[in-house]
Amino acid sequence: MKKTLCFIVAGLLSLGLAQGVRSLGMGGVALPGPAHAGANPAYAAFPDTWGREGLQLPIGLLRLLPLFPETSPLAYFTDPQAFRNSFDLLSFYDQITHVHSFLLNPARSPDEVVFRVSANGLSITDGSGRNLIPSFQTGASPEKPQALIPAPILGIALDLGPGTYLSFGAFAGTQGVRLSPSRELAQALAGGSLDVCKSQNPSPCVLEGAGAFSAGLSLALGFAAPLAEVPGLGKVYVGIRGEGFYGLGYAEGRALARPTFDQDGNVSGVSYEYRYFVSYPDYLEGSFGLGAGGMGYGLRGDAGVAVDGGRWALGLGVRNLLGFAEWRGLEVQVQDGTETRTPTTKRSDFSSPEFFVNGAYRMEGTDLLVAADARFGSVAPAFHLGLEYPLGPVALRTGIGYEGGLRFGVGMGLNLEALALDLALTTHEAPLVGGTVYGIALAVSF
Amino acid sequence: MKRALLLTSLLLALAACSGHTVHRLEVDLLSFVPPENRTGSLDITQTSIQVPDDPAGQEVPVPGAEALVDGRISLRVSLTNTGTSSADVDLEVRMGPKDDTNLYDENGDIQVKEESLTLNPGESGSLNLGVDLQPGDPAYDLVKAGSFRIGARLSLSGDRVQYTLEQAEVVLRLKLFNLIP
Repeated sequence: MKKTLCFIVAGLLSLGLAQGVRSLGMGGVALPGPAHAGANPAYAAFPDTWGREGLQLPIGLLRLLPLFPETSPLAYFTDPQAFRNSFDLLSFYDQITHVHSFLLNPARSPDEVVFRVSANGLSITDGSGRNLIPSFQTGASPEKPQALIPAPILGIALDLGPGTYLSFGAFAGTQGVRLSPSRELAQALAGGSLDVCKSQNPSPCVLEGAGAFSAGLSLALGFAAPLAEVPGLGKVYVGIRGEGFYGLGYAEGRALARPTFDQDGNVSGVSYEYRYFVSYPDYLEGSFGLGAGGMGYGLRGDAGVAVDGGRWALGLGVRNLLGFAEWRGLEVQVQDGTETRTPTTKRSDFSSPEFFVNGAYRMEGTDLLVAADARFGSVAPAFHLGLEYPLGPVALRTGIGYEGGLRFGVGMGLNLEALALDLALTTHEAPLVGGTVYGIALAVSF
Repeated sequence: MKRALLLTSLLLALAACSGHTVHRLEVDLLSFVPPENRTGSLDITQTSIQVPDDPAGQEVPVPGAEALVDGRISLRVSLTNTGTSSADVDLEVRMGPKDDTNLYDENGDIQVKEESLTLNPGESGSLNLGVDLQPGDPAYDLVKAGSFRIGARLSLSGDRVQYTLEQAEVVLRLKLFNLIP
């Protein structure tokens, strides 16, 4: 159980991958430079003149102190009554997935949830009569393994010579999480009538939950170098990287629930169907004892190109241009109480590229910095647009973006030569309940 | 209805989980009464009706009943005296444990509340019966047991009345964090 909890917490933390505070202040935009060498291998050789970032402080962890009982499970041990009255699982989830921001108003569960049951159907609303339809998605599709693994936690990089590097580290992260009702279920919950759910057998009204988590050790070999200056364009950089992993654990699950009806059209029950796949190395069988001992490995190739034009920069990175991942383990399928356990091998697609384009332009005269990025392909599309205006030692920043929901950022930087501080007010869409969540992020550099 | 509530409990678990969230379960009992049975008349040949017909009443399972905060039962019946003499009409709500087979035999069941109305010939009126379920009430304890039965009886002492059931609803407020030890 403790191991399961550790995996869950590690998975949640991985959802909140750090963006620099400067970037957060600019709406989350990714500035060209080595900080984004993971998304574009050419940036490994790119000068660090655009995307300089300080050390980001995980100030969101402050909210795990019992001082904040709405987000701190620890409050149960220090003040059980405050925990019972205030703790909010949704607020906790929101904060731990944005650990580098102190959330001022983390997503909050409704004060009242109203379930109205009648012979004609069921409706779920909040205390104000607004329909509550559970729907949520983050990350990539959790249906199958991916060669595109999460970035290593505290990875170590070794310089092997001109432009060549080796990096390795342990990774653990959630590939994707999804909770969604079918169109028919959303319609039924919104209208309070189950008629649409009775149109077919099995019912088209389905609530689906799915998620995938992977952990292992990764090793990457990359090469990045500047090419010759291209007249009229600028300095061109190229990079390639191959990354392989040895899997220590992979779990993938999907559950479906749908209502069943008797011959008179009355709800007669709920049909459950779920399956999960678990894989870990054979030698961990003694620890987990699930009968899912197997093996996981993968390899993929990334490539990128970037141009530094002096007052402007542009980059294109493609991750998982070619890739392969395989996990051998156990698939368990449960339908209407009947369990089937099958040794299974799950494989990724051979090519599932993720594209990353970003650029920046510093205007002549004002030094106003305009930057933008876009991510698309095998991941949910995202884009950002940000501005930075320097005023002596102070820099003012703002930006907007779309990343599973609309977000914007406001920030400022203070450069005191010996010490530089970056502060950002960030926003993101509250999971499940909607609305805007505001946060504060802080970074320092010396 | 039991299965419908099981579906409810599944969605309830997914909808919200916090110390400040109260889950309100509203069960529209009237919708489970066939429309043709919601109106009718009482006379000297039939002096009372029970809703539902079954003397065992309607079973209402309550998922997570240990988390019950409070609740309310509401009934409304409109009445018209269509006879030639004054009529006294009584409306009572009765509850019992889930294994009670007759809510009206005073054996393990309780009368939760009773309201009366006197109507002159040709006169119309309505009986509104509202019961608040609070800790310490026997009815509250029945709900908190996790499953209970509920039924109502309309009785006539007089010539003839026309009735229409307009509302029959149980509202329960639950706080799931009360389940945490």
